[in-house]
Amino acid sequence: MKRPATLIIFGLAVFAGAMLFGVAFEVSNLEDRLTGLNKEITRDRDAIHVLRAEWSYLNQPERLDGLSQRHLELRPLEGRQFSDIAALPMRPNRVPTPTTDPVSAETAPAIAALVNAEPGGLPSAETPIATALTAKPKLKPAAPRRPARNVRLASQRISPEATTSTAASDKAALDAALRAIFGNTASNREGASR
Amino acid sequence: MTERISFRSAQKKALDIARTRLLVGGALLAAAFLVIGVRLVDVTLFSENGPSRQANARNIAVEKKMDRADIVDRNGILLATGLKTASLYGDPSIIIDPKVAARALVGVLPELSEADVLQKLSSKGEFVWLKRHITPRQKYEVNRLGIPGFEFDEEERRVYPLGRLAVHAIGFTGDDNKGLAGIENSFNTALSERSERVTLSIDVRVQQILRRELAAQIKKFKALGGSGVILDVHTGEVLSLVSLPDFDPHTIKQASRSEKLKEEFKNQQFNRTTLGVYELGSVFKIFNHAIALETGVANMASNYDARKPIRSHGFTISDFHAENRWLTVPEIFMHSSNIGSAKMALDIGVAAQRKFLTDLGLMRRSSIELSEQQQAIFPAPWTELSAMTIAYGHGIAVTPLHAAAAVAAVINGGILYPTTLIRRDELPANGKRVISAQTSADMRKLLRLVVENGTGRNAEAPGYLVGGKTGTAEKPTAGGYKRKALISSFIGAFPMNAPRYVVMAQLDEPKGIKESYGYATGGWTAAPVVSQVISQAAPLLGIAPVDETAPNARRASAIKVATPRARGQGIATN
Repeated sequence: MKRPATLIIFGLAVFAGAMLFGVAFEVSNLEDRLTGLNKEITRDRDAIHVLRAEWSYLNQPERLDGLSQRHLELRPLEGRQFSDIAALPMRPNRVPTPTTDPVSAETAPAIAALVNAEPGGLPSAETPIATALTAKPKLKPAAPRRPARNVRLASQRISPEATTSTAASDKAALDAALRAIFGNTASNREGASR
Repeated sequence: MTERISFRSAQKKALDIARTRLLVGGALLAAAFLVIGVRLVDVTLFSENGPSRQANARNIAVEKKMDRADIVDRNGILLATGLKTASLYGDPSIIIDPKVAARALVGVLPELSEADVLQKLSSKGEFVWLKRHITPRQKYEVNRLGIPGFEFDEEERRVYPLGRLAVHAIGFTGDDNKGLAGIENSFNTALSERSERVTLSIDVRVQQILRRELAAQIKKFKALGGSGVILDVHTGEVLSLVSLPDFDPHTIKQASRSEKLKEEFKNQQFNRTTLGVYELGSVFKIFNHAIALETGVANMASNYDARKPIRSHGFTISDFHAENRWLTVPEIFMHSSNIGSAKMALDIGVAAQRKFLTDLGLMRRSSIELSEQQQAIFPAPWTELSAMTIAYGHGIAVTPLHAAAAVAAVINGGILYPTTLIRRDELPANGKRVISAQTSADMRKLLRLVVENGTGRNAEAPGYLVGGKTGTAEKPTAGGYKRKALISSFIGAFPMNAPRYVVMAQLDEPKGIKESYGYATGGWTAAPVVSQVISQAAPLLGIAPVDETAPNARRASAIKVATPRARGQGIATN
């Protein structure tokens, strides 16, 4: 009766000892790994720090100035390169009946200029920009101000569509106009591929 | 039997004692195990923050703070940081043969002098600095020598990635990483002890534009130097602060090599924008006109007789751009008439002039966070003659920064904000009203007029409604003024219908060139800098150009300038 109990206890003790060693080794391994990781983090942080300094150094405005002058054809922005939506000329009514049209081709530029002058004055809802654009050829002789280059491009591209298919949906025209206004790069690319 | 009994009893007694002792020992052990057991249960089951606390303690070692915090610009671009470098020191008590060691070391680091190293290595003691901040490659080479006694210490070295770009604002540190100038000096405690990153109000893009344009103009007009500043009129933030010539903060140690370099460095280190005081000339007419309009001694329709120079106390006040006729208040400003301004100052009076110039902050230290500062030099006693000369900016000397801050107050609606080099995240509440909104509106129109039709036409930047005032002052010398040595400046602001920024440029002793018809005045030298800076910086600052012919923009300068039908005296014949 006594012997099996002793054996079991002895067995348990050996098992506990083995477990203890196992855990101890695992802890020691994990600690080594933690130290290693900490070291690595410190090293990476230092490296990031150095790289940040280097990034800032390489981005010296003076250096970039020189590089852009040598390799790029970019120049500082000028005031006349800016335009806003309000600067686009307004469209006469959809069905032009000159006698009743409140916004005739002659008065449109003046109104556009007024709208432009008031900050935040956007074209009214009845005359969306896109449709105003499709009517652009009519307004051609009296542009209210020097139009931005991309706007002129847009009108040239859109006008044939507008004349050939009068039923062209407003949405397509709006898309085109928005692309012309905001997607400056996109229109350039198209131009290049042509 | 008795023997046995006695034996038994003796044995029993001993057994009893043994049992008691065993019991006590067992109880003690049981108690100890109980304590260990309870603690074990406590640690493993109930104490939740135990392990994590330990892990945190380990990670804190990773989060090691730098010796000195970074300085960044308003957009987070790194302006100053610390990089770890190795510094070489020697331990003479370990060095076996100083001669051999010194020769070997100089072979690797040729910039050291052998005699010097030998003397250091032969000294008594255990520590001598041999070379601070060596490159990793040099460290490797020294290690390869394999000489015991050469040791390295890791030190942090201050690095300024943008070099000399904003050196007068940032400043620099000495060998021991202690701030010696600029923000490095004034924020030394925050940077080194509290490790707080400092965010400046400087915008490096704008700084570069101003510095480049100013440098180009200095070269073109062969000026001795120049200064420039850009201020946000609604917050008092300094977006750009330039003083030329400037220097590379990494090479300041080389300045001590010779007397000539020392002298040169002194000139480069001098912050003309905050430390230099100058008589700014006609720029002061901005303040003179503002005071006259504010106190009501003149209005926009008042006239002054500018037909003849004023002679007073042995001085003659005459006009540079002489019109020789009666001038209205706007005309005096537009043609920069000294005579008209001096007469306005007489009407204002000494006391009011002094009070307003003080209110505009011109007479006291600026609130900018730099120790390189200078206060105004003003006449004592402040006589009527001084009042007349101060009207057109002579007899009083202020820093360009003071002038720019005062102009910001004049045009922003009349509120003076303390100038700062630290980014503000909200509008400051500590502004002080110095003039009325109406006077400010009139001054905006006058300033726009100067650029549209007056002496400041070269400052125009299409679309940005620039307004401003030229200033050309002769430099004072002992007992008089040098006629050929000028301080030419221009203070501009834009857009004049709703001013956002003040731009000031100043050149020290520009020489007239062919292109400027020999002129070296503010309108020819400094105004083009302002024009260039505004047209390049405005898009970066998010200011959209306006159509100058639009009614809204026209209103910015709508002013009645008409030549006065002078009270019966008629107009001078010209």
